[in-house]
Amino acid sequence: MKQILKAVSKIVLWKPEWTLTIPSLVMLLTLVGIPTLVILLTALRTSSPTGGVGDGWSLEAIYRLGNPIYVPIVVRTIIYTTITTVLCILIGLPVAYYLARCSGRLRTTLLLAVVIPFWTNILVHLCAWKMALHPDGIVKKALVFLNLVDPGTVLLYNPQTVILVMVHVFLPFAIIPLYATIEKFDFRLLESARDLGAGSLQTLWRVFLPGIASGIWSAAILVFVPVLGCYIVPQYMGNANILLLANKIEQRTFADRNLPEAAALSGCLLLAMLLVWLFFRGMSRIHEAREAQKETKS
Amino acid sequence: MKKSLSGMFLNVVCALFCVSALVVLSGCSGENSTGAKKVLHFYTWVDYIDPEVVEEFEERFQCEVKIDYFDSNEAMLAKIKSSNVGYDVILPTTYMVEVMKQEQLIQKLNPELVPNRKFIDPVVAEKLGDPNCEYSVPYYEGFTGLGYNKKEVGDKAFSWRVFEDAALARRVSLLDDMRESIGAALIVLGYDINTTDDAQLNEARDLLIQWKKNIAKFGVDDVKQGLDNGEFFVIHGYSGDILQYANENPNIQFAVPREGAIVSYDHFVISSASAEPELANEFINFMCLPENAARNIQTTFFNVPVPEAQKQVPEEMRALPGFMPSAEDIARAHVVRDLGADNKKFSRVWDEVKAAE
Repeated sequence: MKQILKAVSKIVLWKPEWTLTIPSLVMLLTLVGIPTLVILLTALRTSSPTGGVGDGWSLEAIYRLGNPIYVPIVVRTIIYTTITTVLCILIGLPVAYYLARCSGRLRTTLLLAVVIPFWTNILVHLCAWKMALHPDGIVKKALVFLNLVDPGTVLLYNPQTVILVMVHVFLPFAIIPLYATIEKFDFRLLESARDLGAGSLQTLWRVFLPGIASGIWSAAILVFVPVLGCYIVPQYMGNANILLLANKIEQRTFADRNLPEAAALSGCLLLAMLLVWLFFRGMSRIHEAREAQKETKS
Repeated sequence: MKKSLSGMFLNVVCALFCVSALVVLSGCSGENSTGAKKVLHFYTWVDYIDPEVVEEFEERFQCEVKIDYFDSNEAMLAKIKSSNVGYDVILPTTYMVEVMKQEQLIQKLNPELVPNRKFIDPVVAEKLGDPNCEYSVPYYEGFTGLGYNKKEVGDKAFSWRVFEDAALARRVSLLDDMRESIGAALIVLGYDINTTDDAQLNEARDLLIQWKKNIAKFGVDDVKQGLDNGEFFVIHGYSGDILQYANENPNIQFAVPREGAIVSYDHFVISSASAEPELANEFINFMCLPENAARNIQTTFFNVPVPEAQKQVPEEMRALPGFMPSAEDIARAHVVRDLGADNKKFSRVWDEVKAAE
């Protein structure tokens, strides 16, 4: 016992930072690493008609990814995800700016107002939207009263509804990193830009946005990646045509009982997320490096 | 500010830990107090049994029935296949009974312990291919048909072609279930719903794509509420689900379309890994007793093929349209069978329907 303790303390003293990461590393490996590996390996198995995986190994699931029906689904998934991400950032920017500029208690309250919906279960959001947009619901009635839509319009189950709800659900993912970056931004730069004769648009475009670009890119990652795998919003708010990749994976798993093909699709999604993450992180790094260079120059 | 935010996070995490610790502790003490009793684990669909009948069973057999729920046969199969432990009695649909039997996930019933099988309608048992109820007892009987809002579409003899009605555009829904929806199209075309003929399946696909252009969405559970609250005028759904709403809302009715419909049965089966097979047999036997079956019918609004029980259901409930289908309706109705490797053909058609715009 004593010897073991001695050995352990020796290791701890030898590489303290390594030993400290071991618990989280083990957790990450067992809860994320191994399951991901299992999914990727499942993609290489044969499917069994009774569900689950068959005995042999096969590339059939991978070949079937070439099925032309996936093309519109992938294109649609990318379009929905991109629109949602862009809207989240466009709406998130002024909110984050205001949050960073206001002070004290107001800021704490507003931050809470951003964070609390973020903690609320997504199903609750969906139910609330369903009630609000219902044909006899309050939003519809208000719009009809204001003569903005005619009484026959259906507000639910449209592409716009899916985007609206996704933006609402994922907005905090954009606001929080944007706020963190804007808070660190030196606002005196804006004043000096104005002093030097820049108009407000020019100040925004050439001073403010480049200054917080790394925050914009990290907000983009945080929104893009979960929206790419979002399954429940199109499922409940979409119409018969809005089928995204995640919904297809669900169909493969349950209705089709074809785990290898579901795994192959999940593998693609994972790969796509990895590529997106690398791209956005690269962009964010480039901007950071540029900022650092500017600072050393000045 | 950042610090206070992370501090807030820490507080919340601590609070969550405390709460979960409390829950775990109280859970343990609860377990101890009932320690000696036998426990029967029942795996079923939500709101699908009369809780009073279950309580009576618990009293009679001095046991505790723990109920766990699944929302699709496939989700249930995935769970049972990955670890076939924990459940004694399960309530899958006919085609899934076939799969589970093939996979040896269920065991034979003990004929001595389930004498009440004799109450099951022999015509139904015969139709489902297990006339002696060797492996399973067919219980809840549901027709897949149309739920409609009488106020909006009027009372008429319905055809499956209601999905083509342009006047109802975006106010109708089809089931998000490939066998049911492709099955409806096959029925309209006059083909067998278990066909594996590609030409027939392609015809069904084209018809379904035509319907798809007119519907609001594919849905299962969420559309029932939509019918009740006026979002949808006609939905494709299961009889009991719709009749539950019909009982409360006078505008809602259920109809079996004139071309015919799919009937599905959920069967009581016993898991091959059951820890209490004797108690499991007793449970099934208890449910087959006509008076208990009658109460389950009244709770779920799904019929049970026990003629003695059907007689005990109050007249006003029996009068709900579509609730007590005639023997002719049942004989004519189609049953979904497991197609094994040919399921892929249906998956292909479903993929093409879902991808079409």
